[in-house]
This record gives sequence, C-alpha cells and structure tokens, in this order.
Amino acid sequence: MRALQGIAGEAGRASGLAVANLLGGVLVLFFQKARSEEFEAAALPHLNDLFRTARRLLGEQAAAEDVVQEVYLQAWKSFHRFERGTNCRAWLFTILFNAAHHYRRKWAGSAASEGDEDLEEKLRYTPPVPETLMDEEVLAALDRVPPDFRAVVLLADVEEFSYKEVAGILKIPVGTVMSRLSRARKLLRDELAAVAQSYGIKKASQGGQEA
Amino acid sequence: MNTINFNEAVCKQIRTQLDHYLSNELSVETNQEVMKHLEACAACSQELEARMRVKNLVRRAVQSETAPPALRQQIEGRIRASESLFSFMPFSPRWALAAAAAVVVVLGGVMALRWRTNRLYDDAGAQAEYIRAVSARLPRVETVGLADHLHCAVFRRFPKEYPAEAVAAQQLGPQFVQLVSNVKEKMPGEYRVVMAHRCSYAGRHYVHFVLKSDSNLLSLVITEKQPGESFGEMEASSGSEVSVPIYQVAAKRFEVAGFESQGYLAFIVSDLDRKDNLQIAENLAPLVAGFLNSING
Repeated sequence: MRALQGIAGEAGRASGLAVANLLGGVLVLFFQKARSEEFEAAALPHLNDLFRTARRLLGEQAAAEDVVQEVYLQAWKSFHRFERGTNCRAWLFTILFNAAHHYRRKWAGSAASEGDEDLEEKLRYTPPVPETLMDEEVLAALDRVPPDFRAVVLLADVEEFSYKEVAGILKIPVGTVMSRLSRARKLLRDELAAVAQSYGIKKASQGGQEA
Repeated sequence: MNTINFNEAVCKQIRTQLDHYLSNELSVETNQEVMKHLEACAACSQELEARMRVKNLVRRAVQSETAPPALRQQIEGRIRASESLFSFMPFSPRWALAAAAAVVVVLGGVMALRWRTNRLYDDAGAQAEYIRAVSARLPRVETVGLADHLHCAVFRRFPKEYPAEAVAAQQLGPQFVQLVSNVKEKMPGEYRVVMAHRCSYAGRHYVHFVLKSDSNLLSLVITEKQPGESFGEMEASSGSEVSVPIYQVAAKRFEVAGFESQGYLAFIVSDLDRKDNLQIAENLAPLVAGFLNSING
C-alpha cells in the first residue's frame, strides 16, 4: 500500500512537472516569438550598413555575406545581454569587427599593415582631390588603404560613428582613433589623387587622340 | 587672397583641428574658433573642402552597395529556425529552461533513488536478494541472525515516536517484560528500544528487539536452534574470561555476533564497528543466556 501511494505520489509529481515544463515551453516559445520580432526590428535595419562595411573589410562579397550572417546569429544569441535603449547599431558593428577579425585570421588572407615610416612618407603630400570619380575607383582606392586605417574610415566617415563609439567597436583608445583617422584620410586623398591623375592622363590621352 | 588674420602658425594649429571639425568632435569653443578662422582664411577653407570631398566621395561610394536581398532572407530564416528547433535560446528564459531541465534531472535522480529504496523496503524478492547478497560468504549459522535483522530492522521505517518499552514488551508476552528492561539497562545510554516483537522469516520464528541510537541500529535476535546448527567449528571472538563464547563475523557493513544457550541461538547484529558490536554482545550474552535458562527451567 505504501508502495502504491509512493508510486501514485511520484507519478503525480512527475506529471505535475511535465505540465509545468510544457507550460514553461509554451511560455518560452511565446516570449521568444515576441523577442525575435523585437530583435529583427532592432537589428535588421542595419543590414546594409553592416554588409557594406564587411564587404570593404573583407574584399569579397561571399565572405561579407558569411560574416554578416554570423554577426546576426551571434547578436541573436546574445540579444538577452543587449540593454534596451543602448546603441544597437554600435553593438552590431562591434560584433561585426570581431567576426571579421576571426574570419581574416581563419583564412589568413589579410595583408600586413604598412609600416609607419612608409605612411609618414605619403602623408607629406596634400594633393588636390578630384571633383568627380567613379564609385568603383573610390572603392578601389579605399581597398588599398591598410585594414586598420580603412576600418576607422568606414566607421567614422561612412557610418558616422563618434570617436568614442569607434574606439569601443575597435577596442582601441580614442587617441588612436583620431590619429588613425587623420592618417587614413590623407592616405585616401593620396590614393584618390593618384587615381585622378591616371584618369586625367587617360582622359588627356583620349582627348589628345581626338584632337 | 590673404586675409588680415593670416598667420602660418595659426593655420598650422587650425589644420590639426580640421579632421576633428570634419568629424564634428570639437568642443563648442574650439568649433567656433575654427569656423571663425575658416571664414577669414581661404587656404584653410580650401583644405577643409578637399578633406570633406574625400570623405563624401568615400561615403557615397561605400553606400552605393547594398546587401543582396537573399542575405536578409537567409538571416531571417536562420533566426526563425533557431526558434522552432530550440537549438539555442538567446535570452534569459533559456537559463530558466536550463535550470528547469537541471531540476528535472535532479528530481528524476531522487525519484529513481526513492523508487529503488521503495523496492528494497517493499518488495520481498528484492529483500531476499539483498539478504542473500549480504550473507553470501558467512557461516550458515550466522546468517540466521543477520537475515532477521535485515528483514525486520533494516527494511523498515520506524515511527518517529518510539513506543514505550512496556508496550513493546507486552507484544512479546509477560515473560519478556523483564528481559526488555534488562537489555535496555545493559546498553549504552543513547540506545532506545524501538521495537520488541515476535516475527518469522524464511520459515523460522524469532524474538526480536530493535534498539536505535542517533547513528546506529542494533538487533538482538533470539531463535530456536535447528538440528545441525552450531558455532562449534568457529573460533570464538570473545576473550576466554567471558562465560558465553561469542562468534562474530562481518557481512558488508554489518557485524553479526552469535552465541548459543539452552537450544537457542542469539545474535547481536548492528552497523557498529567490530569492537563496539562485540562489546555489546559480551555485555548482553550472560543476561540473555540467564533468561533462556529461566524460561527453559
């Protein structure tokens, strides 16, 4: 009899637990549904920005797509840690730079940064900047800027994050952000001037042929 | 065209601020200072314009690219898939669920253990199996006492309120009343008589006292000797000065101390260590032998 009571009691407890679990599961699903909608509403509007940045950081379209997918999945997994009201965009970019870093390490395709002496050499010039250039030419010039400097340009000049935000995303001091941005802009200007020069020469030679 | 304020040192100083000006990172005061200089200085103004053009060119070029529509769909698909499969749960209820799962596992374990215990207590077959296992390598005569201890004392939940010794003695009959109180007197003070009864197990009858301290359970078991049962071939565990020789064996965590008197076998069985169990047996053996003499006589 005692055994029977014991079994009944435990069966009761077990079924109670099962019901509680089921209810918990339903609640979790319901809550999660709401949460995933919240996540998509907060995070997906930044897809283009993240993709463009990834594209310029990694060079290849396929790599950029992989990394951006990874960014969204990671962000979704840790969305519970994201504090509402804080900067979702900056948070996503932080994840992006982490993911891109890991991606580059994995494929070991990143070119070494140029030494400071080389840069100093280039920084002496302040060549004129052409008024109009094709986007492809500008992008090609940007891609020739060393990755660390390119990253700062992408965040500060394209995505218009503040120095402080850039420092947070790249995990470097604000002073480093400032110096890298200045150098990057000068490098870019140099590259663009070089493009314009060849462009001008091409045009000039075309013009010359026509003349 | 040079302005009144043109000064190379000032321009140099202003140009270090131009990048920050372009990024809108200057303090209000410095910002005004730079703007004031720019209004007056064409060279610095041109330099700012050049830098701004670089920035705008780059921004426009980078932003000319958009994510492929399929990428958005892939991302949405993977997020939804993660939802329905429970493969991971990206927020706090995940931990709640993990905790719930842990609780279920622990409860399951506890229930399984209790289930086993219940079987041990309530299933005669399981009891017999356990008794057989514990007594496997004992001399047969010793198993007589051990089996009853296991059967009656170990496989039993004793009530929290111990019955009065007198009540326990009444269940045995008037001739045992004195024995119960005498046994109690000879035992260390922390022991209480929790049961004193007649019982039968495996076809034989016993008189059985169960005594309990906070940490130990002890039985005094008395039964009629059956033909061929004797401690005769064993070596006595007790010293030579003891009037009743005691034969003690260990079986798993139990000590079984047996002795015989007047056609009866008696046992002290407990989960005490060897020395303590033997000590109690030596204390009780003369008393029990005297009692058995008295009921036979």
